[in-house]
Amino acid sequence: MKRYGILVWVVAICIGCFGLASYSAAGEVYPSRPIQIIVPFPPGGVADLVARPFATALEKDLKQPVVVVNKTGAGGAVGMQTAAVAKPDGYTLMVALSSISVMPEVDILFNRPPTYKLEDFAPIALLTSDPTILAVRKETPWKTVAEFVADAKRRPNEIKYSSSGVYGTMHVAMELFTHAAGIQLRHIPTAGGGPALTALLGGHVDCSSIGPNVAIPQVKAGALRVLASWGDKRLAALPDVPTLKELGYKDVEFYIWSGFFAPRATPPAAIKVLREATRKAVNTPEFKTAMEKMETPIAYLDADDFQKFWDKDAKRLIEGVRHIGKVQ
Amino acid sequence: MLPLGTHGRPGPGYFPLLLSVLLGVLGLLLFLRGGSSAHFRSIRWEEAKHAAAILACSFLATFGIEKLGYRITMILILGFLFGVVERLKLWLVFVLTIGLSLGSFWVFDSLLRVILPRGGFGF
Amino acid sequence: MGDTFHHLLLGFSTALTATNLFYGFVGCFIGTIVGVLPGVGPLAGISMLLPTTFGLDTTSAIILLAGIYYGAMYGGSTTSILMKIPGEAASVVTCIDGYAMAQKGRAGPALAIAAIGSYIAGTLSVVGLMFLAPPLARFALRFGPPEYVSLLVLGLIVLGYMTGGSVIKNLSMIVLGLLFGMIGIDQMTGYFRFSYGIVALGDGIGIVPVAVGLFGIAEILATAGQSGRPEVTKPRFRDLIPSRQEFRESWWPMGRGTVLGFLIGIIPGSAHIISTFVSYAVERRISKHPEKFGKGAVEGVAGPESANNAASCGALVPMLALGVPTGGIPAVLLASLMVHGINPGPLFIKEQPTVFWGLVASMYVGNVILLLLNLPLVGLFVNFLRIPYRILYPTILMFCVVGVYAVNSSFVDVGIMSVMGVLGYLLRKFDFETAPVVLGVVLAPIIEVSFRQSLAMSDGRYAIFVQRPVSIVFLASAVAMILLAFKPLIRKKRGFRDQLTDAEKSG
Repeated sequence: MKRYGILVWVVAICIGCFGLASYSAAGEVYPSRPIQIIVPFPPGGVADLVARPFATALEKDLKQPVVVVNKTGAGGAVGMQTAAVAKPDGYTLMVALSSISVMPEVDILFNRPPTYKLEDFAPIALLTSDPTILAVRKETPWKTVAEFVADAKRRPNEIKYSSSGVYGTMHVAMELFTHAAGIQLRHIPTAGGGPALTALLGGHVDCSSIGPNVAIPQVKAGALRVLASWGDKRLAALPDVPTLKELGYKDVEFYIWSGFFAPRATPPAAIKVLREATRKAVNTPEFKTAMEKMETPIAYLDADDFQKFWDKDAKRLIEGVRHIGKVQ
Repeated sequence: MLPLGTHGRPGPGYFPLLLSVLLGVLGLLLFLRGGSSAHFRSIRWEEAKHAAAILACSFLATFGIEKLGYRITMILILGFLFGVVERLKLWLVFVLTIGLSLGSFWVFDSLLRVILPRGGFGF
Repeated sequence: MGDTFHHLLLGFSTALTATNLFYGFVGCFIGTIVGVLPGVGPLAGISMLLPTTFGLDTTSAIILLAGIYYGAMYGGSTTSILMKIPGEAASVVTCIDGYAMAQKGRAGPALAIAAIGSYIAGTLSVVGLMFLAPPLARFALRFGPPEYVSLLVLGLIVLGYMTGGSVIKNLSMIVLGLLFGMIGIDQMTGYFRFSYGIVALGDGIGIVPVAVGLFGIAEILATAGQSGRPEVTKPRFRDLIPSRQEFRESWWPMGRGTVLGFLIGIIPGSAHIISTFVSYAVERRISKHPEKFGKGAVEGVAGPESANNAASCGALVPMLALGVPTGGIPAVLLASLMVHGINPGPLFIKEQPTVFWGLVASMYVGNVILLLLNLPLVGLFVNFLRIPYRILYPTILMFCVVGVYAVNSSFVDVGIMSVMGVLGYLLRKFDFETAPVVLGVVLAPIIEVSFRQSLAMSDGRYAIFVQRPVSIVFLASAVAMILLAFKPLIRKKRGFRDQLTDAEKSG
């Protein structure tokens, strides 16, 4: 019995020491522990593929392990909420896509308490930015946006398009365009970017607003045709494709961008370190090669510029969601 | 209440309602045919207390894994199951509990790089 | 033909280099471990290793990741057979007859047949991939929402044959599973359904916690406290090898499972688990002794395990031939290719023969490696069962918790697993089958979304289901099967089902 008692004390003291040790470490220079980057999307997706090389590049500068954790669900809301309420000590960060701006508005639309607010996040930097493109099947007769719009006006609600999900990036992008052009298309939501592409290739829908990386190989193989892009400038990979802005549709811009965020209450000292580290990381040759291989252009913007970009972009997206309203 | 939509455009409430009705009908049929099946009393519940203990551990794991941290939760659970429920020899309880908790943590966290939570105590 | 042979030689020369052999081995090994661990499935394993592959050569990277993928299908059957815990979601069906075989002392043969079936299926499906990839992939693309609905209607009818006994009970279980599958965001409109404010439920309750909970936890709950558990004696070598009879009974199910699995795997969006259920149902329907199923019929292991492996290979067909991912795992594999600068599309096979044929050849090699890995381990695994259950079950509980948590770093999943555990326990007590619930959870999103998508496509007209050729074929088959079911009633007054129930009552 006596031996048993002493044993318990020993174990308790050991556990206590462990605990104290981790706590005392927190008072030192940031970063002194491994950092976690939450990615609210499944592995293999755009956010994930940007975050992982980025994390590796950050490790070099911060001299601490930077681990990517996928926390998927609800179109990204689960991961974003986790990051929003995480302890703001600078050890839990997030890489998210432009859909971050959409979710709170959708919650408001459905009279739900918002899962998070845009103000919960402090932007650290914009990493990449890709405009979406309007891809149509090769069997369709439209060669230009003008033909497409004319046809759509002739037979409203007949032309079908696929999206990655209701209020998702592909949906909002398309709606921005249809609203500006005054046309009505039939929306077929699918379970994600992959199924949306499959539906388009299989001929079950006529067109779609997709990200360039997945579309370009199909275009090269002749299965799809690209009519326009939602960008500010023409895409380097598709120099013959006009932007919707050029064609006269003002303010119809949509980017699938990835950004690096921290909880708003993170100490400014930590954020400063992160901004500096990010600036160095995006300029490393390894990160540059990784992005080049994936044909994702780096569009680095530091925190203040990013905040301006984000605000403008968010405004556009929120307007789009309000136009869509509740889907019946 | 979720909108039901129309037959041509089913809303989010359409299928759940359909399935619930179906389940209700099937349940009713089962109930009516209940007379021909084995008696309720013939079900043996002898392991129920044991099962309840395991279940309690499982729920403790659910809530403890992030609040207390993986290792502490596992130590509590395994210690409880090995020591109290199964009443193994003390040294065996100790070895298994500490060994499995810390061992599995090491395998997953360090080797496989799956982040297991460290909880409020940092451990 | 000669062209393919030439390419294959090129492939082998790539796959058999020391580096690629090494990575193939590593992939298969990790895949087996990942498969054995409950909850953690190939998707988790592949995501964990994805970053490490960034620095590797493209062919090596894809060989490694693919190895994990089909390796996990081998490993998944191990815990299913030994402990009735699905190693990964698709192994749920193996839990039924595989575990029954283990209880009868035939764990070794069950594991062996699973390994051999997986090998045959894996190898044959790679042959299919090699020759038929582009045309099959194009066919797969023609599966749109209406085809899914018709196919699943047919599938559900086929599955009605899956278990004998009370049709009503099984139907209720499927409906229950379907209802569970409704939890989460409604894809078509954005409403949250049944999530009660818990955001984590917004994505639905997930197949992994449900499978591990309903089978693994429920099993522990039901058997842990029972006195008089049979002692497992040290197996003799003879007991580890399947008997000649078992071999004879397994060949045809392996073949049928392979074909079924491969075809189902090609269809984008279908889950592997569907192929295992269909294989099980088909084997049971065709068998001359359907009453054996559920009590240790080796066909119930051979068929589904082959289907499993064939489906994982089939899922790669559209990805490699057209650059279209059929599910989460092919999407990650696609991503790993993209990271290396290769954009898979319809021209992938032509433009990257080294990668494609290297992968194909490595799959042949990988299957051999896995067979050689798994067969000798059968003896080791069976000895596992000899650990006293009092020590074993808390360990199992721990692995279940870790495995389920690791999938999405979410304690909510662990909670779902616990709740499902209670449910599974109660269902067993009241003599309900739990496998159909898992199937329902998997099918629910597919059926509902496809149905509503079809109606969205046709703007509300139901005629779309009979306007497309593939859809008509499936619906007609479904009707035919229903009519066939009535035939014995008209002819002999005793249906298949009654014979089955009689045999069960007396046997």
